[in-house]
Amino acid sequence: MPINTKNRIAFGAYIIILLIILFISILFAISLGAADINMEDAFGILIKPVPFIGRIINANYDESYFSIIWDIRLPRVLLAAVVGMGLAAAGTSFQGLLRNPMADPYVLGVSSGASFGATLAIVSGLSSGFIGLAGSTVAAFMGAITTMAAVYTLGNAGKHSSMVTLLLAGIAISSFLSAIVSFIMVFNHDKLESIVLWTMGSFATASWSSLYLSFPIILIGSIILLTMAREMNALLMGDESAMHLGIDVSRVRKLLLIVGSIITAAAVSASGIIGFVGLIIPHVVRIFTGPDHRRLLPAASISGAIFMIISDTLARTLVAPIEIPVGIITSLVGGPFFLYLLVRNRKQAYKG
Amino acid sequence: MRKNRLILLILTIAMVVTIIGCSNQQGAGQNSSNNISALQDEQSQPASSTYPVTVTDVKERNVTLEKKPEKIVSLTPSNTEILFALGLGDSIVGVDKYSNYPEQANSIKKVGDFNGPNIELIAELKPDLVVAGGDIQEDAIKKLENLGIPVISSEAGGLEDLYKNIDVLGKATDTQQEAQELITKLKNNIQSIAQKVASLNKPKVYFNVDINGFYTAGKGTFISQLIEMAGGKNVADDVEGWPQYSVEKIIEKNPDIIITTEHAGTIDDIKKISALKNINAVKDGKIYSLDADIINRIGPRVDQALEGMAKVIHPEVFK
Amino acid sequence: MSYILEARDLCCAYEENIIIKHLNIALKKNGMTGILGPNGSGKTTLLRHLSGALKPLSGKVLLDGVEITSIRKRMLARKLAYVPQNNGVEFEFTAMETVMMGRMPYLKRFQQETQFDIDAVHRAMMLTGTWKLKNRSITELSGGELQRVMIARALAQQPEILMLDEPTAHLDLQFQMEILELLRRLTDSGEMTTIVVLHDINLAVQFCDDVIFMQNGNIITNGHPQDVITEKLINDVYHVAVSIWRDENTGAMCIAPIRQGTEGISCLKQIG
Repeated sequence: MPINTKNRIAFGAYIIILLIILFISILFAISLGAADINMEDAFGILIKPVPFIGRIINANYDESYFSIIWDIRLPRVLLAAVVGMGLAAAGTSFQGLLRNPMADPYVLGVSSGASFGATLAIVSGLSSGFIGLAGSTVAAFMGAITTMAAVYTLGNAGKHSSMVTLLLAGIAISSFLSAIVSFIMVFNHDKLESIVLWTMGSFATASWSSLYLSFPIILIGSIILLTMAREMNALLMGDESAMHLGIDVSRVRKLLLIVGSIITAAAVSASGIIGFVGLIIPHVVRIFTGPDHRRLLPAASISGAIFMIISDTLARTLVAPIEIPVGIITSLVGGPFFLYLLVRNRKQAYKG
Repeated sequence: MRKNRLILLILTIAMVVTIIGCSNQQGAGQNSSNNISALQDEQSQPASSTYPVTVTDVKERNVTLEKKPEKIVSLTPSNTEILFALGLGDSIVGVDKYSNYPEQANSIKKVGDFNGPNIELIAELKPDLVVAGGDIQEDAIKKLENLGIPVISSEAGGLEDLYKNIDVLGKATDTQQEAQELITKLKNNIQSIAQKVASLNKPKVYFNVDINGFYTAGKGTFISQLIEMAGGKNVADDVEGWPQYSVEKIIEKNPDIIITTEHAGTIDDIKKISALKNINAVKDGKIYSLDADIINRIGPRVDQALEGMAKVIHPEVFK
Repeated sequence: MSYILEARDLCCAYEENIIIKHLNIALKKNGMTGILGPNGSGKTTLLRHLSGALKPLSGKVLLDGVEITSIRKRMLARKLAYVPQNNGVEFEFTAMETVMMGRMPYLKRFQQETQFDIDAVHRAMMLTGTWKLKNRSITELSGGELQRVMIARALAQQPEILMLDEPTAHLDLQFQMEILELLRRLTDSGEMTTIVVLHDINLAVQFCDDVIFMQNGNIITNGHPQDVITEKLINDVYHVAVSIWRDENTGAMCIAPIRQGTEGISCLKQIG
């Protein structure tokens, strides 16, 4: 009975459709923006520098419009895609790992570590510039990783009985770091705005250099998570069952935690703290794909990218030329949608 | 028993009358003038203040001062500058953390920062006048009034407010002559600068408030007004307030000049932003950093603020 | 004769309590062994150590002469399958997806399931009568159906040893019998060694080839039920008076507790 092949084809089609939607979203997003560039010109500008194909474009484009498409919109859209993908992948993994439907990528304190690092950088003047990789980005990443290590050690990650301990350690360290950041803000009133702005989550300052750190880390991290999809399935059956199926539970847990946290760290340092994506996307996608992570993970990752691209496009076009922080858009969409999910699909959502 | 009730009634009426009479008495006190200064010529010079004096501040609050204030506390840097300009520097006993001009202000006792005046410290100094900022300090203003300290709210959104504030402070501190001189001087300087650039063509100016997100000053802000008066066109005049502005739009508008302050982003930092590299201002090297203390404070140095702006926008006029 | 599973001088602790002290047991291949005893006697702990899930405080567990804790988990899963007592079914995997997880010890990381795997799953589900449930979500199954799916998953591992921890707890008598019949069939036909923790002595007696009685972390006795189960034993272990009826020809046994102050109820007499 070749049932599996039928499933496989159906799922393959699914992924291809999602990828096509992603591609179209990217193109669409690039053609929209505060500057007055019509779609035709936008695509023309995109294609022109491409060898061979570009020759079909005869029009000459204004240098500033060229710059807008290639230096502003393209890296920004790509950054939004990669951050969205990372947050969705990390969120999916944490929800499975912690067997908790309320888990999101920030539940283990990585985001507080990032804002702590960024705050230190802002206050010490390290980030007063927009260097290749902003000082605040690097500091945020290091803060996030250090926090991850602290939570991991305190929570004694790896042992199955300590998932709760891990969560508690995450909450404790998170609160502690937030308190310190507030404390620092009191004594550095002139930097208050900068700190708050950094935290809020935005792609407004995205450039090609923003991608240097985040793109490779998130891409590689997500691929690693994908290869562990089967193990994630087994973990959902319970630690004991998973172990008896031949899974090295302790090792798998550690790996998932670390990779998920590193992805989150890269995302947060690139764009601040954007909520709801890591929480909602896995839930929504799970309704269509079921809990098998071999389907859920890739679908959620691509969907996360699409969602973030759309949210960011709205953030920069709704009241152009004013920029709305993208976290507001994701919350406005994500919040009510999450409530709707909870109420309507109570049976289909995770129990408990 | 009837007798007792009668006595009670009379006592009650007496009490009520006394209370009414007392409050009238206080009102009456306000109107009687005790000291008339004979030194001033009322027609050609500004009058002296006669105490007690009641002024109406920019928030339409009536504030009464019983006598000429000898111990003044200032809660915002711009007010500190105004008070010093009125010659009251020696009467200032407390300032906020950010008051740093003139030099003398640095050695005055600090009683809090821009948002949070320390009520205890202020009360300890027993001031007879506190000059506070606007809405942010409303809480502090209420608390100080409850302690019986006169508080004048002095916050300017633009030039007209500034002149009114100077006038009010002059009246309250019996420095009306200095106040009028200051106002006149500012008006003249500003007018003279504005006239020099009025008919020139206006370069496009982008004002940077924070490069971590391209925050700028929109229409209606004082900075925007300064730019316009200095003979420039604020590219962000299609928005209001202090929003985060789309970098695409900045590129599209292609400003000729970028103005920043040290704190908002240094000239080098702005040069390093790859997104802006093709803008005229960056290519021509027309990025200027102005003193934040001067251009962000609407105080007695506004003429210098305007001059600073005009010099970078129209350097050809101000050699 | 070589033993498939052995415990030598096993001492087990959980947190600070020592649960099992100096336990020795050797199990032969094939056949169904029941582990019995009152609550807290260490039955589950023993089973978990025998399965390699837990590391002992001291002593060792040997599988085919090799220390079980030294065997790689993946290899172990191909030889030994374990059905735990509580199965968390919060996630809406289908029955078939669940059973397919039993093939994990055989699949390499990027390998897709092959026809061979599908056949193994099919066989396991047919044996457990769960093939008809294959597309149902496990969250919708009844207790008995779920239990059989979990057994199917264990069977999909194609193990030599099958361990179950109280597989019949919380089930109706019908399901209890169904599952034990199934286990019996598997043991007889599949050259499987089955080790089951049971709480019902009568069932153990009817289905098991050997029984192990535990009390306070020690093995009181082990052997064929007919040989080792006596009224005195039950009284020692459970502190309950019983009357035991045996049929010498068939070996059938029945153990009935005696209510205090009565002479007890005579066990069912053989009909015919």
